[in-house]
Amino acid sequence: MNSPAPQLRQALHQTLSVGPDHGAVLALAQTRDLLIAGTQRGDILAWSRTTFRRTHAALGAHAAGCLSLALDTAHHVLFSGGGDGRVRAWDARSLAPLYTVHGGENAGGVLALAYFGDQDALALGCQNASVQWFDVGRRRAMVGGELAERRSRFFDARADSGSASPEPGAPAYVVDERCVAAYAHSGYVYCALAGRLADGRAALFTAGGDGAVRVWRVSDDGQPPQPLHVLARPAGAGAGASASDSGSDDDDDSCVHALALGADGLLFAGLQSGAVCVWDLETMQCIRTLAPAAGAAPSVFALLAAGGLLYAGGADGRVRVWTAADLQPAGHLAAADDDAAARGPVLALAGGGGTGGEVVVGGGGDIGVWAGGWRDAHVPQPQPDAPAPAADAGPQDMLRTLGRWVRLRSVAGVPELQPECRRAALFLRDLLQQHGAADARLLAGAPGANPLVYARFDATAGGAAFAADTPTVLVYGHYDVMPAGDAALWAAPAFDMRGRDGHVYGRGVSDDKGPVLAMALAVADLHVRGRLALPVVFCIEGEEERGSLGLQAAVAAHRALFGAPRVVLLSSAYWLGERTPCLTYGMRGAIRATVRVAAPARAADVHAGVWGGAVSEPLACLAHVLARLATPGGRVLVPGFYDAVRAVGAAETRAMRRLVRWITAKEADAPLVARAAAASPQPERRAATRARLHAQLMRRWRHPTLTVHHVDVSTGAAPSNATLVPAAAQASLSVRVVPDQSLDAIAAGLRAHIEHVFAECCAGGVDDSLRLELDVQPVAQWWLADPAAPVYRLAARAIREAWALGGEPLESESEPESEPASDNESGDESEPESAAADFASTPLLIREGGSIPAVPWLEAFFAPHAVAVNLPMGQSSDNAHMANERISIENLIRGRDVVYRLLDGIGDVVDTTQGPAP
Amino acid sequence: MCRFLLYKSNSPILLADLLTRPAHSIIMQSTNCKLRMDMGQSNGDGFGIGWFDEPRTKGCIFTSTLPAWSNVNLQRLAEKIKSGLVFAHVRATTGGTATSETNCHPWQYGNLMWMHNGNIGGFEAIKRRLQNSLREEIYLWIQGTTDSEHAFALFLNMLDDPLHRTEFSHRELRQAMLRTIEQINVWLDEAGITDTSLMNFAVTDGQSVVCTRYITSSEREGASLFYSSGSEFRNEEESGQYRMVKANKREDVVVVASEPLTYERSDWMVIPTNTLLVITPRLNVRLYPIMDQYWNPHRGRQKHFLA
Repeated sequence: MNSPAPQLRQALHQTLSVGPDHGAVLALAQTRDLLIAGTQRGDILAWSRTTFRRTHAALGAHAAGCLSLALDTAHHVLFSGGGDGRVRAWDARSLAPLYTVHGGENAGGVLALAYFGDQDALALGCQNASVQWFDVGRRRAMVGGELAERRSRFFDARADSGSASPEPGAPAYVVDERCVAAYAHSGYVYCALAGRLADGRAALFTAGGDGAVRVWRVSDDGQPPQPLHVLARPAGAGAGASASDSGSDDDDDSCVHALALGADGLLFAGLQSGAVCVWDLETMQCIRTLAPAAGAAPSVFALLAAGGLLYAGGADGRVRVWTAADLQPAGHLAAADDDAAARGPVLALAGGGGTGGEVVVGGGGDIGVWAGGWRDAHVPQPQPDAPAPAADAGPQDMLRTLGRWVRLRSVAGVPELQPECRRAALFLRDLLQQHGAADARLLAGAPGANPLVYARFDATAGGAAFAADTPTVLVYGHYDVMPAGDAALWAAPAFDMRGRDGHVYGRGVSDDKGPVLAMALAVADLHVRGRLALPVVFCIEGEEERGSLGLQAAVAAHRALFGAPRVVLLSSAYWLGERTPCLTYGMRGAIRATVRVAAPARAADVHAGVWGGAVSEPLACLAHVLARLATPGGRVLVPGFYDAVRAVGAAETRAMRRLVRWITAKEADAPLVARAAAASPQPERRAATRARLHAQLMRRWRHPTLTVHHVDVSTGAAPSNATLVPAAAQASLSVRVVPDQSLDAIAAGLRAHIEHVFAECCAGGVDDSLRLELDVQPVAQWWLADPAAPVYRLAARAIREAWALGGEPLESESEPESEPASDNESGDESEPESAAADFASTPLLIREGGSIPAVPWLEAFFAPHAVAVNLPMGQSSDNAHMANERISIENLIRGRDVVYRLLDGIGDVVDTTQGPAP
Repeated sequence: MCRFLLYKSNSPILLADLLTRPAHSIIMQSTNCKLRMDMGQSNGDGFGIGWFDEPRTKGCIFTSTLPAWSNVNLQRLAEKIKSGLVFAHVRATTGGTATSETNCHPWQYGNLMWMHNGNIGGFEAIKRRLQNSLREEIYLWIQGTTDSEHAFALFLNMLDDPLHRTEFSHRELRQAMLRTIEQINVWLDEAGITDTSLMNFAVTDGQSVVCTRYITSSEREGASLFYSSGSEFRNEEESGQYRMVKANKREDVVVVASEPLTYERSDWMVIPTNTLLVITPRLNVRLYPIMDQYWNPHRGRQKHFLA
């Protein structure tokens, strides 16, 4: 070989589950927007090519398998051929049925379909060896009784054997008897392909069970195709056939399962023997036989020539690849942990070329969507006349970038991963720089901790140079991620991002790399389009999962870089359910504490039988202390703990009731609703579920709480040795605080309470006195924004527009306060059920029980103008911090759009006047 | 007027899944067939099954003059025997031939196995000529009296050394089949026979199968013959109904039968009248029109169905 083997760089981009109910995927087609599959059980399924969500389905489209698909792109018609001998036409955008075409008598299955745009006609490859022609443009209404004549004495004598009659209501047509080329082949006609000959004339190519490849002339006069040529195959192309095969055409026992046309006048045929034959259509000569590696000869079931490559899908589940021009092997499509055999045979291929470069692989298992292209100087670029790439190529670029970022295992606090954290930071810095940031750099964090990524996109209007008092939007987020945890719980490697059924999976995709990337790209989009009203500064830290270690010092040290933020924008929260966009306006604060009770007089544990009774008991003392912190029902016993908790107002209760009604009515399958419903008693289930959910959300969002995380003893021996008195015991606990509790006051109260209880315990103890070591750390202030503020109204509008939600404008807390609050938090159930779907406003205004220290701190640090807005992008099922973390592709795309729309309008809702606070 | 069935697959099937269990199995066809031209419903004059274990080894045949539905040995064997190539036949005597085991289909010679559904009209008039044309060893091999066995002998006579060869190309078998039909037609014409003959023949060497749906008429339909192909013929767990599963593009199973074994319309295809069907060793189904004096592509539709 004088040229180096080209490098195939295609990666498995998305896996789509088909599900056992549908059987194998036998045919694939792609429109601009949809990926369409025909299945063994006769169903047609469609996915969005952008979000990879299942969008449409035509179940039972064919009585015995959907064997073939063809597209009329000009009229947006999808044709499907079935094992029932019928072709059905569908609206290619909605999968609404249009009409049915019955193949000529005894056609058997319609194994292949080819659509001819110039002739507006379909060629059918049939099981009974015929090739049939259906003039779509001049189809005539079916003559009554035409099908009745086909009644079978055998089947029609019984009611349960299916019907030859058309479905009532659906227009039906038949293939004209004069348009049937009977015995066009001597075997099943597995392939039909619309193409052109070297002279540019339209041609039909057919092939099948007899191993022959036939060329038919297709004219514009409305006549069916006329046989033109039989392409000869060299002897032995069906290698592996039995000894009796003499090599003569007729006896060669290797059928053709697939045909494809290359861009430069080459025709490819995939054989049962595993070989791929190549003809030059100029000379009608077979110029090459691409044989599989010696020994292995899995049948070729599907071929695709696209983007300068030839793909051959085989019975072994593999897709082999060659360069289409010089026919050099280019490897095969394989994911890192690929098990081709488990995938079952590859039966259909689609895509490539100008449709975004993706290659879709379908067969016995899930559908795989491959993307990424290839790199090789010898391979010609895709044809210039190929359709332009999809207008919005953005989502795929975003996912590719996210995949590369996820690969960097930026787990903070793990020494050996510190270099990867740094690479993840540099990755983001470079990305922001490439997208037009005026300044992008790393800011040093705490000693030994990860750096922050800083970047600034200047306002488009230009004007004065950036200064410390320039109004800005601050985008906050983090690039550090949680550790992967137990690898066995992950379906795929945690740092190898995978797509499945419209989600991407990997550590950090949802928390917080995906949302950060979406925010960054939205800002970049605005920058490119010249629509940035304010400079946008990024503060993306690398220690969030460790309590934002060093964040405050770093931001304070570089305060001037951030200007005067009017808005702190972040996306570090989740929807309440799965389908309804939310806007987060509040989070609880947090205090962490460790309580250690030690017997300083003795360094080690002692034998309980020998010493018991004569020494103090640190663990028992600690247990007493812990028991006095809260009741078993969860009520905190620290004196004055609830004093500052803001009273729950009537409007708040009403809003919560609306929220609960909405979520139970619209998202019955969302995890939190399902759990509440499962726990509810059978009678009056709906009301009970709502009451439970209402109480639960109030407790999570609105009320303070105290948690004991774990209790431990001091030495290595004590945990497993039940005969010792430990020398020390400790517990870690945390408190979640809410408005208007003071973080410092609660911390002080907790400290005083523990000291007080400890002193009580020690009174009258034995002589070796215990010592209390108490560490109480305020971690995060609670945070509560005013959802009626202009920036929140803008954010809500951006969400509604990006998600194309109807509904009323955002409801604020400005409702009349006159309505008395109900004693029962769940509210009464007097509102009519039918109202449930109508009253709630979207996005849902929600709070979170968790804490993000940076949010209230940044607000406070950049006071008085800064307002934080937390835009949740992910769904409640995203599994942040857990195995199989994921985020929906649609949520990322729309989330990016939300941020774009929000920032696009930001100049109208914030004070952009430069200068110090009034 | 008989019923027959043949099965070829890469994966052996339990004979019961073909012969006894499907809704319209060959046993059902022996008591209650639906498409016989003479409107008779029972085929009770004996039966036979033939099957192959391995390629290039001789098949085995089990025949009986009992009706298939009352032979308990058939039921027992069907529950045990698995094969990837099966011939099965239930007989209704024609032409006044005896109900004897020697007259039961299928027959075998060397590796070749043969069966016939139909009858050669006025066969007595050409029987002697046929016998005279045979090579000695083939003439001496004939045991029975039927037109079917004699047609097999004529077929064997078209091949070189059929007794000792273990395989034949499907092309050779196809050509021998066409020549057999052609020769019979020539003799029938010479003898002035005007009766219609039905020649649904099936032959295999254990690897390829060649069969015909043929009638000496350009107007009427031949005796019924259907085929079905797919990846597996099995009963669905939910319904218990037998279906031809089509899980991939390959044909891994081909069944040919006088009447469909099930009532799944989309699983069964009609073999057009005067067509020769080949199942190749790699399970490709080929269909060839028999374009002789009786060839008529516009033969009447099924409303004139005579099967």
